[in-house]
Amino acid sequence: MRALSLTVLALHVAACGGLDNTPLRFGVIRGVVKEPTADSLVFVEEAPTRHSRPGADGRFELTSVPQGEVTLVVLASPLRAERQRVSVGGAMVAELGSVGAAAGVPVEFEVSVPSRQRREGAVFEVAGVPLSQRVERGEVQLALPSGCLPVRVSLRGLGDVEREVCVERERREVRFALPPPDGSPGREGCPVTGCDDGYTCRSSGACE
Amino acid sequence: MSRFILIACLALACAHAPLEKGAVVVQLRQGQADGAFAGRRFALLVAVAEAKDDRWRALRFANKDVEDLARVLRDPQGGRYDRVTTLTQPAQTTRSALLEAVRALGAEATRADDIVVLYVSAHGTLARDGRGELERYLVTADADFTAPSQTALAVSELQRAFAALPSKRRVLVLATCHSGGGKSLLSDEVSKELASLKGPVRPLEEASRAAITLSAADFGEPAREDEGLQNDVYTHFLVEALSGLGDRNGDGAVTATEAHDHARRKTWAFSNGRQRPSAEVLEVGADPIVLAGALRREGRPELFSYAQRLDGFALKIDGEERASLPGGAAVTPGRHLVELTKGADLLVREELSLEVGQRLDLDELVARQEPDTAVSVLAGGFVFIDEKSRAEVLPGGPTVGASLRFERLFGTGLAAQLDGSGFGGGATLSLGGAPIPFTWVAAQGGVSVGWQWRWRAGSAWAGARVAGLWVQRSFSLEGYSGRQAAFSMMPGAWLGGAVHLSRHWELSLNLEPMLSLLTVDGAPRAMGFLSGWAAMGYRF
Repeated sequence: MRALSLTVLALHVAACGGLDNTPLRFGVIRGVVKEPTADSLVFVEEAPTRHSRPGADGRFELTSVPQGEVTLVVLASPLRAERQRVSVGGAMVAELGSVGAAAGVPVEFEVSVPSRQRREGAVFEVAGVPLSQRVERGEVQLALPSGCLPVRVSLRGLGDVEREVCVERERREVRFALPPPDGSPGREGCPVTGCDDGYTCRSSGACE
Repeated sequence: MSRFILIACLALACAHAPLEKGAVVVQLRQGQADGAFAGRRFALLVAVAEAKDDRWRALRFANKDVEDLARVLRDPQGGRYDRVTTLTQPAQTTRSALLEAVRALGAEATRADDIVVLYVSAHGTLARDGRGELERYLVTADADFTAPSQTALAVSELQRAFAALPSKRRVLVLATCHSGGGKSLLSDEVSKELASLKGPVRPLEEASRAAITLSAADFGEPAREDEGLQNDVYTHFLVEALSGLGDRNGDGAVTATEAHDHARRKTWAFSNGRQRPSAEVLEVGADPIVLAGALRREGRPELFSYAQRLDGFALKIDGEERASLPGGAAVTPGRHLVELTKGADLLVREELSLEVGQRLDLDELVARQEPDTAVSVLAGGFVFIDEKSRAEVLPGGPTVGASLRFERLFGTGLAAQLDGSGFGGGATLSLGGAPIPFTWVAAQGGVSVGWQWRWRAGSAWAGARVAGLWVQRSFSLEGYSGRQAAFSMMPGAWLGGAVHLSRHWELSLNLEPMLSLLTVDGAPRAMGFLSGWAAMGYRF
């Protein structure tokens, strides 16, 4: 056993170079989102870190996508969204052509905050991917493909709320109520969020 | 060395020790000291003239064979044996009595350099032993014709008893035969079985180290008594050899092989080729077994061979046939043209300068002239042994290359080989998805050392090997382009063999299981690696 260990050690010392299969275990997805908007988003459902915002011409490219069968989610516009199964080959490019033409299920997301605090700056994330849309009047219009996706809303000073949103065919409204401030880090309340006009921020973090 | 120490001590004692009261001065001559430490000579001579079963007819000259041999061995000018024991009476020649006599011989001949001769003149026969194998038997006085395997003495049993003696200079002479003719008689059953066999049958037993077994007839040939000679034919000429005529090289001593060669040649001629005595000999190069006489001077140069592969070759000296192998011949010192031929085939033709006292083993001469280097072109393939490595590293592929093999290194059976090979091609990897195409180039260079077993028709070898493996993979894919290379040293085994197609051409096969260690995905991975190839080689 010791001799075998010494042999392996000697071989290890004598070995040089290396063969790396890592780049061969991932592929690329390319395509064009039809009639893209500034808020269009494409991501791999199984690996949401692999996401892309199409350019003005709708072209997108997702790199380092694990080889095999994956689900591509396309959020094209407030009315169009789709899921698509894509076969990704190692070190290969999957050319999809035009995507995002299918009608999605419109969903109206509303953010409610306690005690007249300002909600501008709230951020929506779908499957961990931040949307580019910013909440202004507390509402976001979005089309989702049928099925379920995790949606998270966060606002500095009031924390976050996450929920799985499932849609089929009918339009939906989904309300996310952010919790009241409690003074803990990230939930300081109005010292961070500010108050609507005419209201004053109290030391409790609430607006009055 | 010890004898010189003793002589030196005695000399010092004589020179310097004062003659004290009671001290005895010993005058010791050199010859006496030599005699005290020289190997002694013992002979046990057995004649089984009659067996209790009269279907084995009485041998007329068996007792005389023993008497004649005893006379020449006892002769102070001839054999100079210290003790010669003859067993000729029925009570002395039963199976158990014979084995007991051999054991008693071992109690007397206790030193490794004692010379021990066991001679048996008897009927021989063949029978199936307890395991059903054909065995040679000596017909002892109490042997039963119907049950020889239970009552007669198996030659192998006699040889085992003989091999157990402390002496390393032993000669067993079997003046008998087992063919069914001459001095043998077989049962009907065995006779029919032998008649149905095609080709020679040689149930040879293992010869002991430094021992010689001399047989009056080769297997399947009859040993004969002759009215005119009044002896067993082979024994007659063996006695003749021991009386001095067998001293081929004129050194004053008749060795076992010299005596046998003389008796063999004369028997062959006397019987018109019907009786061909055989010998099983080990360590004939030194042939330390002096049967008669004493080394008085360096002998004439001798050329000899008892190697089986040279059986039947004729030894020619300066164009004249001097011996048929196995055997040998002595020549005058000087330069001679030495040839070994069989029919029209010429195996060796070399002019040699031979000196007084030189003994040249023709088998070594042949070996020296055989090619000992082979250069080959090879084609084969390699593969990683485990499936995972074949899927993720390289599936394996063909190789071409060259090798250089050296044989008989340091005059031994050691062989070494240098080889290099390489190739390239296309392949695919299987990493869980679709096959990934790529091209590869690989090169391997190795050094192997092993032991080689050689025959006339070829050789085989086994040993150890270390090789270097370099692998490069090139990818040109939409999602990845690049080259990757790795190097590994690989220890392993070297197995193979070659078939000689002619004197210079050979076809060889090599199989090399090895252990490689390559860095794969950033981590070292030990992998079994198998390389194999066939090669056409030129030997020189």
